[in-house]
Amino acid sequence: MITIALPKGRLMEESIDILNKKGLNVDIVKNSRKLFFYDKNEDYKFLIVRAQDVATYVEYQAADLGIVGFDVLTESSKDVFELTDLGIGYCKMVVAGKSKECFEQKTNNIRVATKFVNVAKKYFEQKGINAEIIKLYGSIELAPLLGIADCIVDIVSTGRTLRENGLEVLDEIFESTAMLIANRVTFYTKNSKIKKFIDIIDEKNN
Amino acid sequence: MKNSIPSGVVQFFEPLSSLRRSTENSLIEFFKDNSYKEIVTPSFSYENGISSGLFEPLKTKLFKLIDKSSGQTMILRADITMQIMQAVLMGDFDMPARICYADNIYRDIKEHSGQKREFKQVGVELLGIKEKTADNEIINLSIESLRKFDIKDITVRISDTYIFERLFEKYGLNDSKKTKKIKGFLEKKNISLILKSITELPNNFIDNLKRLETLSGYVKKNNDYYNDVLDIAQDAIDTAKKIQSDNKDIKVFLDLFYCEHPMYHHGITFSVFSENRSLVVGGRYGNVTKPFGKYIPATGFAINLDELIYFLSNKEKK
Repeated sequence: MITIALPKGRLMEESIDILNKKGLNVDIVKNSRKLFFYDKNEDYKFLIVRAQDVATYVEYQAADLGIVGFDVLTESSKDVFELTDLGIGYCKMVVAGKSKECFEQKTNNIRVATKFVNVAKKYFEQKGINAEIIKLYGSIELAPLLGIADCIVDIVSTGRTLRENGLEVLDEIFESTAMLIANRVTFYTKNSKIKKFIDIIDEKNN
Repeated sequence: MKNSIPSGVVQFFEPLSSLRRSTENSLIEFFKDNSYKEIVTPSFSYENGISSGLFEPLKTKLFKLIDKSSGQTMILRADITMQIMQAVLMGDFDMPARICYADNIYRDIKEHSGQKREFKQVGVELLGIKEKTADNEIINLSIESLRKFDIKDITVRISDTYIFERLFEKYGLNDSKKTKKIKGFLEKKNISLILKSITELPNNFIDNLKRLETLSGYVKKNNDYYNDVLDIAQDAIDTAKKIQSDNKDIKVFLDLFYCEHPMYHHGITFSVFSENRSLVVGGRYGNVTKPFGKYIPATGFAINLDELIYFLSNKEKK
């Protein structure tokens, strides 16, 4: 049996849809608080974890495989294999603010609010801009409006939240889709089963 | 706090402490029976003497002290291979030389990374033989050393870090910024990102990458299976086949799609796993003596003693 860590939320639902479409027969009992479940044939065990924890579970071999957005994966920089891009869960990592001006004050510190501290740090370092990173856990778009930050680094899919809060995209950092990641040991020891699972879940193979 | 010890270090109590002692002794005895001679290296070295050859990522993980008599910076042993090579060069050893060791390693790893700041490595180095016989001897010795403890269910991963080097050379991609980026993705086996974010790649380069990825797997006896990649992967294929034929009861995974970035091993590299645990890591590293002015072909392996005794102790419990 192989164990697969899935991120709670939309990405998990999309992944389960794909698996069911391919005839794997995966069913999560609604309103259950159980954090793991199996497919009908019990070939696969699925763990329900927070998106930010998927790569940790895989790195420490609590799971052999995991499905996680490239945005979250890049932020956590865990030591795992990134086997294939599943093409689902599309979003963009962007810098957003009220206007381009915040980029032009190179002599001063720019205050950046974000959940993605490492991504933001690296981005501004590469641009040669001094940035003071303010870690927030949600409603990041409020930060520039309330004056605690000059801009934000966050993910957007349609851009609606930004627009409704008077912010615009100032730069795109990278595009993100869900990746299938693997533990660096069980990739070798359970390779036949892992390859079989990739064949099922990777839509590009069909 | 009076009762606390620093994070990343461990106290061993009975029965683990006895298991640790006996495991180390039987490994060293086994290596000695196979003509490997033990070297004990000091815990401190001068940073100047060793840092030019140190693996780049280790340089930010050094414990440093000042030698009050000379004013020089000293480092705690963060990598034993460098010290062995230094000892061999200073001692003017006859080649080939077979060395074994059991020493503590100290690395200033950041907290919450799950890694240890002090651990013991037991291992061997075989110096002075550039032929594949040395790789075969070392890989077989690592498997045999695990068998000593009745470890079964063995999987060996065999790769060659020169495969991608040869491929880059073939396509004129050596040492560019683009190549570094590609290596970063390959290290994670992320071919999707290469396709997505690297533009203007030479024709057929991606086809070759995909071929290496597809042909990787448990080693096949059929010679024709690897025909398409023989020009760049012959060494790894030959080594994997030899190890499989010498050890019929193990699984050999030939990983032709294996990249180290930055590159530590130069040539054949391998890992040995059992019951989904990594127990041995090894390979060619002769290039590390280049900064000391002399190239000596070298290969070896290391066993993390602490990991091995946890593994053995869990096995006993089962």
